[in-house]
Amino acid sequence: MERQIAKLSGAVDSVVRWLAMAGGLLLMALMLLTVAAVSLRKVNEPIFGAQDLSESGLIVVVFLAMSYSGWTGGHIAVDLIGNFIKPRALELLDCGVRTVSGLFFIVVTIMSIEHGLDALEFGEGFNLLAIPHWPFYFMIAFGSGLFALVLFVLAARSACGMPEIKAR
Amino acid sequence: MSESAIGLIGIAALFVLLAIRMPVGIVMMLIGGIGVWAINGSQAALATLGSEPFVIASNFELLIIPMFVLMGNLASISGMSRDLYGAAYAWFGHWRGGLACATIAACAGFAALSGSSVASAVTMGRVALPEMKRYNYHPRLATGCIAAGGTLGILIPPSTGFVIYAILTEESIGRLFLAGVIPGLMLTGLFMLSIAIQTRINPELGPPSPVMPIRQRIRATGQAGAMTGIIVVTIGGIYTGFFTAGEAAGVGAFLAFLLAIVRRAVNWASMSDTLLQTVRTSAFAFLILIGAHVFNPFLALTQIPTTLSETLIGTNLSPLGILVILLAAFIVLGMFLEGFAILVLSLPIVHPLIIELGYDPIWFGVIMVIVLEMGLISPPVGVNVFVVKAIAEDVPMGDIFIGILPFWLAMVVCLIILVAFPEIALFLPNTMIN
Repeated sequence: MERQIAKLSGAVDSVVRWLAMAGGLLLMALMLLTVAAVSLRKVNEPIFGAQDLSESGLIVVVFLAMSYSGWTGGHIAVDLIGNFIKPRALELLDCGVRTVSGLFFIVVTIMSIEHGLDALEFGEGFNLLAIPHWPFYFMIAFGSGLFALVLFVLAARSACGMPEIKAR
Repeated sequence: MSESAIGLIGIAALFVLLAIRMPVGIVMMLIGGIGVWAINGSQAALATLGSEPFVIASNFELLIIPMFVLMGNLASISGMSRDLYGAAYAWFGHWRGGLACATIAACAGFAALSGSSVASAVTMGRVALPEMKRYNYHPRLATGCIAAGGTLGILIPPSTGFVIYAILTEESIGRLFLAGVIPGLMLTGLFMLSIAIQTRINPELGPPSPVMPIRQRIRATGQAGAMTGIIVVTIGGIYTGFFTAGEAAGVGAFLAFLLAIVRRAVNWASMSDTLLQTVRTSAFAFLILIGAHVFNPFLALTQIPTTLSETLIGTNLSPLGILVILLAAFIVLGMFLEGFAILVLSLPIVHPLIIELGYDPIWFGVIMVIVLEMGLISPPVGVNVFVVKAIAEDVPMGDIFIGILPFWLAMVVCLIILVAFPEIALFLPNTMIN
């Protein structure tokens, strides 16, 4: 069982790191877009829809990175009881907390898909460029679903007493 | 069951889940979702869970968070922290306690590039601690000044604390940033004063290092010029209205990137680390904000903020009395809860109250961020203390906390001054152009 979880962990690790890296590269692109938008605006040649591009890009950055942050312990929690209960009890508690959190993010995933389908049906889009909203709802669903998977794998690792993952 | 009762159960459940180590953002989403379900039904709750992640993650103003985090991380890899420390060292090093003062000054400079206290403490700790060790500084002073100096990261703009405050209270990010400048410099001065007092009482805490020739001092200052340029462009750009705070973040990150390229600090390993760290921190901030935007409507539905506000005002305490109670409560909370958690959990309750009492919300933002800073160095969960401990492994935790105490008191003095003279914080935002 432990070997299978370790194998799964390796796969999850690669996927979430590469996705986060893609998010980072997109962020660099947004940085360049911001500089270009500011510069061109100052010479009265504003980039049409730059804000739409930034807003839609930001969604992708955030949800590509959500799982990586969760996988490497980036989402802060308050550690009040860590010093007072036995390590094994703490691992089991973490397992329970992560399972509940994972189930909750499945709900978020389903709701994001539903909102995406609604956005598709009603033709919702960003203001200027009219970029449709639905792909970004599905991006949120993808990020949330992957985050749920990460939480389940972390729960399994806690249950087996495997060490926490650290950011490299 | 009444809405208030549901609210109280929700708050109790929130604290239980926080205590059992559920991430803060998830706790707020979960409790907020269940709470809205209990009061307004499943459709409202599910709609909130489906829409809020999109609303928050597509908020143009929030692009400022990853951009400023990126700028801080790029500043770290390009060696700006070392330049800053070198310049401060050149001017202050020969004073008694001068290296500690140089550390504080460099922390203040680095804070103007980075919005994170932890990043400031880690970066400056790695640079300054070995130097202070070399000149036989007492570990208490050495570690205390790094932990405290690091907290300037969330007071001196850019500050993630101000961004989150602004988003939750719908205040201007630019005005909040400017409001943090003078109090940040004042706190820097108070930290230095605290070092001067400590080393006057006990000179062995921080012996002076050799005096540097004036030419060397000027050269060291020149090396920090690029960093100063980035700070002037970003903060000056916001002040003069040349660009918005979000645009300033993008431009600042770009300049830091250019500088990193010029200094040949950009390679695949350093960039992948920088980008991963940036998106990791940003995702955490966004999850908290999404959580807050699911939790806050629930809290509003329960009427608890209004009731609490009316009760406190009904006690006939003066506004100052209520403010002191609030600040005392925040300081105590800061000992147990993470700063951002306090911010997002308390603002929906406290912000309307502050407005009702007639206080300026921009000024209160500064006050709140200073109180959060105090939490960062307060036992038992002061994050910066653990960061410093990780760098100075041989220094006992108790010594670090003793070393921090004088700086903690300096923060109390800073708070008292700002409460007595709110104009100190409000001067720059009130004279802001455009």
